[in-house]
Amino acid sequence: MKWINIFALLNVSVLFVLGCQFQTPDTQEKPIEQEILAKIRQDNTEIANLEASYSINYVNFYQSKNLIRMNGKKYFYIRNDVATVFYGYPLKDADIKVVTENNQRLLRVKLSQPKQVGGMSRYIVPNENNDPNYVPLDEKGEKADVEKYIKERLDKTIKMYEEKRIESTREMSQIYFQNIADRFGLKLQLEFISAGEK
Amino acid sequence: MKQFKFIVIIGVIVAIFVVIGNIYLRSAYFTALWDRFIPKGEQSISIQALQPKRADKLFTAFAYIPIIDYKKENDGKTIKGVCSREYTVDIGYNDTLKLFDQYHEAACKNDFQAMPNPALLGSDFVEAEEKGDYSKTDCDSFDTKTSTTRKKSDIEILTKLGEDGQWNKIAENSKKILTRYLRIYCSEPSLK
Repeated sequence: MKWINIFALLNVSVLFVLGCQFQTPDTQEKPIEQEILAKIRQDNTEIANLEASYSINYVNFYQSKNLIRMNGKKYFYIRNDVATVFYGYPLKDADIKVVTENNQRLLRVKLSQPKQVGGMSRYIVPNENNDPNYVPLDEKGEKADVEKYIKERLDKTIKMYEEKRIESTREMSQIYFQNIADRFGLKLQLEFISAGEK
Repeated sequence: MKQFKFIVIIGVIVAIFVVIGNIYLRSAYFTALWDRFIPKGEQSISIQALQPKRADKLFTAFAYIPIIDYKKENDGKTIKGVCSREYTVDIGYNDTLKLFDQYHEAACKNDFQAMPNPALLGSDFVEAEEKGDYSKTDCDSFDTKTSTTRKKSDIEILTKLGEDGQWNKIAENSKKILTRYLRIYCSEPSLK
């Protein structure tokens, strides 16, 4: 009977020690993690916010020709469209943790693919024209679809430079988190997760 | 008396098993347990002049812009020819460490209007197009650089960004980004 009690006590003591062990390692990191998160939330509505502005210039030129004078009147239609897009991450998409690894405290940040934040804003800049009544003509001599032409050029240009802009957005986040880590005396471990992994 | 003896024996056995249990489960567990019973004080420190450790080149904006130049007839109104050149431009701050001393106080007050304007960090020529009476050589002169002159395009790019209304927006966003960056080093009231 006595031995059963002693075994029960052994079990209790082992469980007690295990219970104590359970919470200790994490609790040290919590206050600093909370402080960092509070700081980031206080200063930012999103992580990184790169502005990319695209100005597309459309020049339509036509020179009238007749038999007497080879070079007649010059017609110009010039239009300049400006479109702006922003790249960044919503704050909720950033996974920020403070962890200890090999006796070193790390700021571990996981970021997904930067996205275009918000919509595109677009406007037309006033430009000079020779004749306000000139109807722009295309290469075939038909009325040019200026709107379609500009839209296509704009989309193409934005797409062409998108990869580089995403790269700059990452660089911007890298600098930001590097400084956060410096400020709190941590080592930065930044990971960019590609779209599929999450 | 007999009961007292029994309690002491049980107490000693419990203590022995706790110790054995701890050694058995690696000594770190014991330390963790012991750690809980040591009296502890709380310490805090307020750091006033934290400084960035490194100088960063901070890109804040990108622009794709054309520079359009006209050749006019003698009346000064009618367009004879057009030279249109397109550029990609990187905008931002060259050396954040240099800006830190001067601007971190304003940043800590969240006064982004007080931040400096961003600079042109680099420009790349993409393509050119001449129409009407505008010679290629004249059009090329925008990117011609000699040992004494700056590229005409760099000056024109800033003018053009201003004229088109892009610059104000870009400058404002860049100032906000710089503020956020400098705010990392502000001392905050401790969050408890």
